[in-house]
Amino acid sequence: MTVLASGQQAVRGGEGISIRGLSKAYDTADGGQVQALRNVELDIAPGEFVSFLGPSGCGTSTLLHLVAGLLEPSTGTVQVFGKPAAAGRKDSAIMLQTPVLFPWRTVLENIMLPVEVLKLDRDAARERALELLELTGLSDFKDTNVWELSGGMRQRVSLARALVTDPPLLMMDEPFSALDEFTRERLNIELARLHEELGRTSVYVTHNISEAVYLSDRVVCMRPRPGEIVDIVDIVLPRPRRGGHLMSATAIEHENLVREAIAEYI
Amino acid sequence: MTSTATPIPSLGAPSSNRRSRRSSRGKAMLSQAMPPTIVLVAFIALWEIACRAGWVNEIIVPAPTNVATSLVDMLDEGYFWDATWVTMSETLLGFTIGVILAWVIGTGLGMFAWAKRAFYPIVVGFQITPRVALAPLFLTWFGFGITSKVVMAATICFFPVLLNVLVGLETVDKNARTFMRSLGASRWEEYTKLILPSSLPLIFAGIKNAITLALIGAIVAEFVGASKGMGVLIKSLNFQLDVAGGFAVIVALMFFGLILYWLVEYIDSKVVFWRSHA
Repeated sequence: MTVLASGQQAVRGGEGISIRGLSKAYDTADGGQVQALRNVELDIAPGEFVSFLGPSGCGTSTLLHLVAGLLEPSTGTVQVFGKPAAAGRKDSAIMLQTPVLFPWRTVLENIMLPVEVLKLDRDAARERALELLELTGLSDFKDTNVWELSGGMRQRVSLARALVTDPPLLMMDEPFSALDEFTRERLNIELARLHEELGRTSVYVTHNISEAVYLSDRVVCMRPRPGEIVDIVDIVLPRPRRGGHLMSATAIEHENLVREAIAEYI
Repeated sequence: MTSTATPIPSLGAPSSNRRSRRSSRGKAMLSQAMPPTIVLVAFIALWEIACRAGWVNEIIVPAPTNVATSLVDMLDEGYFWDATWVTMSETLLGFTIGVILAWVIGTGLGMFAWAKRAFYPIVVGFQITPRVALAPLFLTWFGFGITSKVVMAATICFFPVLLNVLVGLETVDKNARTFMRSLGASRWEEYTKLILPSSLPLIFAGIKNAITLALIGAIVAEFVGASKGMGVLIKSLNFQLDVAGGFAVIVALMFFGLILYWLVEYIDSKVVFWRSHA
């Protein structure tokens, strides 16, 4: 067994994510307020892959940032594994829309950054980092400068960096939205495989319906102004998911269900 | 596993053929150096001809060959090296003090929004003021010795560096800040691991500017009042109507200035190695 499977043990059983009566309002420049999220209730089970889906401005990103502890709720609570959501937790990691790699660090040094900041054991983490590089097909690039990598490879590094601390919770905020269609599809297939191998709780924000269906166990459909959950669609595609599932009849059926749920809000 | 890169084809791999890239860069540098060399040689040749042909007065504008002879003679003289030592010390001391103060104060101001708001307009104001105008004042305050020159050099390079430090702190990527925050990074960690390296390209652009400014500051301060230094040497040689000698010192200054600049640029290329890729 590899060291990478340890995340799976950590999440099985226990509590997942519990969101209760969550609202978030922002102050606007003209002194008013805008309701980004209203009264969100949601439970995510350990090991589950859940997507937040909806048109722009429907609060999916805000919801993820609240789960990540990067924003304070206006009302309500977010509990992650039985503790209030907070930044700097060792049991969660986030992947942003841009890879946010530091050009003064090599690929491997970038991956090790969370280990340094969270003050984890470096030797063990280095082992993991090398294994993750292998898993993401970047083994030959560990000492490469990040500016020499393509956009897709950069997001792979970002993914490896998120996984280096072996977090039971992985949060992703439109991680592949800036990539071209082909690279995005390829990375989604890899992400599904990684999720099945490592089995951690995953929360994924996207505007892309087929991506959400392909990756998720459940798709949380949201509407804008104010951001609210309108429907939650269970995805009953079998796992492990393969590239073929992207085009299967069942997948397309699910995509239509999701599309219907949010159709009137687009 | 072999050490050669086996890239994933569809994702586009970085080129590994360094040697061919280097030799083509050498060629590019040569073709870049060609035009300025031709212009320079033509200019000096024309100048020489103008002097030999008597188009200009040799006492006022000495021929390049005379300047060269003066320079070669001067290299054997102790007073030349004394002057060089004094001016270079003033320049480097002033540069170091100015850069360090600007860096520290700039970082302090930049990290606090209110301090930045308060001081930024004042800094810009000083940046516009011709700081060499302060040279006579510094002479009165700090005397004929090296101090007034060091203060002048430090003052003249302080503001551009300060400004670049302040602007550099602004250029930090928002997503990178969010990412550091998600890791629960302390302010210090955020500074050392993100903000400082992010701002280095701009800070070093300011520092490269500062080294040339420091030399100007030192020379101007020597003109205003000093007993030693290359500025003093230029003034006294001109006074003795040894214009060729004066020119020779200027050529030497140009040479030393270039060395200082290249030194800073070399350090820059080692520290901010990612500059052209950021």
